[in-house]
Amino acid sequence: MLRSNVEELIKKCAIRFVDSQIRPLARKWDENKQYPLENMKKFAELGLLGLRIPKQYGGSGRGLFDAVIVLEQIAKADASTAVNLHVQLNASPLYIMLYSGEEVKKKFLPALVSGKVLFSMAQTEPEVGSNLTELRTLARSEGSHYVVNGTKSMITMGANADVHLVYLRFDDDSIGCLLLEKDTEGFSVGKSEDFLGMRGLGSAELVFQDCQVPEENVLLKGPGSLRKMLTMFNGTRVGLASISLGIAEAAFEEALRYSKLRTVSGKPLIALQGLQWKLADMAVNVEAMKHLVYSAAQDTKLNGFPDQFTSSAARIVASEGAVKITNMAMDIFGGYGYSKELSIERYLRDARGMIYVGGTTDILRNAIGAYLYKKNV
Amino acid sequence: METIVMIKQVPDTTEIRIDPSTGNLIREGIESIINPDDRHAIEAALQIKEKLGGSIIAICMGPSQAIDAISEALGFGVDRGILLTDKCFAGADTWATSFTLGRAVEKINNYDLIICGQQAIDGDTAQVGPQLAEYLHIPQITYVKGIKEITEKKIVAKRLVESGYEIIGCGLPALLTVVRELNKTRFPRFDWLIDACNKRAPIEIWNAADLGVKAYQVGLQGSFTNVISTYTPTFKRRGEILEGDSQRMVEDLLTRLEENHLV
Repeated sequence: MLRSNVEELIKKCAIRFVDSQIRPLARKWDENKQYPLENMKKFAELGLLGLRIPKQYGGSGRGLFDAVIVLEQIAKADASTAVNLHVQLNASPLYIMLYSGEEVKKKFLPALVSGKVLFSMAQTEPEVGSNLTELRTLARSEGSHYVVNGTKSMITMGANADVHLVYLRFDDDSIGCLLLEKDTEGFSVGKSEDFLGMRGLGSAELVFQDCQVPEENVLLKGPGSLRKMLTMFNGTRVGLASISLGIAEAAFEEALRYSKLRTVSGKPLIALQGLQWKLADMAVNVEAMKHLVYSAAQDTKLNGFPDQFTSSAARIVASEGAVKITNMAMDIFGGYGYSKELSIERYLRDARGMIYVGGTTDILRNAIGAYLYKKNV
Repeated sequence: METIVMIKQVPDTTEIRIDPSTGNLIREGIESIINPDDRHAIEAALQIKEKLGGSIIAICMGPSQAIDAISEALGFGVDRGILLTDKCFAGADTWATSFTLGRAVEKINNYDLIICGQQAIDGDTAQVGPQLAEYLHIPQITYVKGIKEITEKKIVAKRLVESGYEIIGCGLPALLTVVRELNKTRFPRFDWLIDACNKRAPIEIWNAADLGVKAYQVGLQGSFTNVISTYTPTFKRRGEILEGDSQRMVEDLLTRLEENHLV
């Protein structure tokens, strides 16, 4: 039976949407440090927020690979928008899908699909960074609810999300997570971050002062929770890797185009062997990143998620590769690349930020090192 | 209101390459899209459906990869898609195309309105819509830039003409060809695009046998015109020196500007 290839069709339509609706405004969002809320409304109108949500809650029930295809294209125009969407596709709602009761699913998942509810994922803390085992935000059990106290920092969409998925420590000393709604008494949004790049993240501090959270909003608590959260991170890493891949592709494509237009002594830049080698290295790196990211996105061997090594490798290669490629792109453009009139300098700032979003790449090396240490050879 | 939209898949470029031996377009390596004017036809159909209810069928004639045009149409909110594909449909001129589309409409046999884009960016003939209306013996309003009134029985539309527009009404069923000033197109929904790729999607594939036509009636064999040669025109800057006194030269200049509709 003749049917379109779903991934190719999604990619084609994403490219057209991004070219028309996101790329023209990306510089404005960056300059104004503006969280592009209008994008989320458009994503809801286009049925994109439900991409991975099961059909019975109004979504399309697709997997990580489809999300990666869309995020890569969006990141080619605006990485902040891509990260904001990534949180909705690959992070907080997946916890609800996998670990909440039916009532919570019915309350939040259709609301996400229609864009009425947007999520953040609150992990990082001022004193312990993103180390889950040392979290200090505390949930104390009091009858049928929990009382949450603590502070989270640098939370993507912190200032704009309606529901925060909060990683914390319970009073039995176990690590887990729960959903905290923005109108909960005692909750407030603290200072907003003024980052070098990724300026549309809406990144902010979250403060919890005796916030009462109903018991049913607890998603993970007790034995096995940490392992489940780490497995979930394997998926989010690949989503983030696809965003770095998108930034790198955009920088490479623009550099290649420019190298054919810009002439020096009557020859285009690409006729110079020194720059040909630079462009060749960029092309090879982008291709390698793409294969690694796509392969990780299609890896489902760990209960539907990629494993820790594959996902960490994809994230390291893509995030660090994007910094390298945006730097090389700036070399191709020379002074023009350093100017804010073009997008190259923004790509470089955003690529640099992607080293830190979702945990540093050096932390991932720790994880890979530990994996290799235990592995039988 | 039962509406049929005719769509064509075209190469997404104005830099069309032509095979010098056959005179046909080279499609390899070029992204294919729904013809821009046809997107406005889809949008018009969707707006009419939102107002009057009913359903929309999109028909596309083309090679198997034109399934993407049908899938995208479903992504916009079209209810049913039909791809007309058969080796013998290839190389059709506007007559053979209109005839094939007409047979598909006759097979559907239940419609109030047919909407086509004004013209396709690869052929630029603007003939298929009018010829299809003639084949079906139904009234047509071409170059529609606005719809003033539409009911189950009749339509009143603004039709673009060189000096402005005219208002024309007719009974239904009828055929419209629409221009891009008619509306602003929307984007396809991703969830509907995904559904359109499902084997249970409401998409049918019809070939020559399904339409009850013979190979000699369609495609290159059924065409009344033949492409003798096709070439990319070369544009050269051409200067012209106006002579005479200042008044004469200014008058000549204004005349030329007026002749070319530049003032």
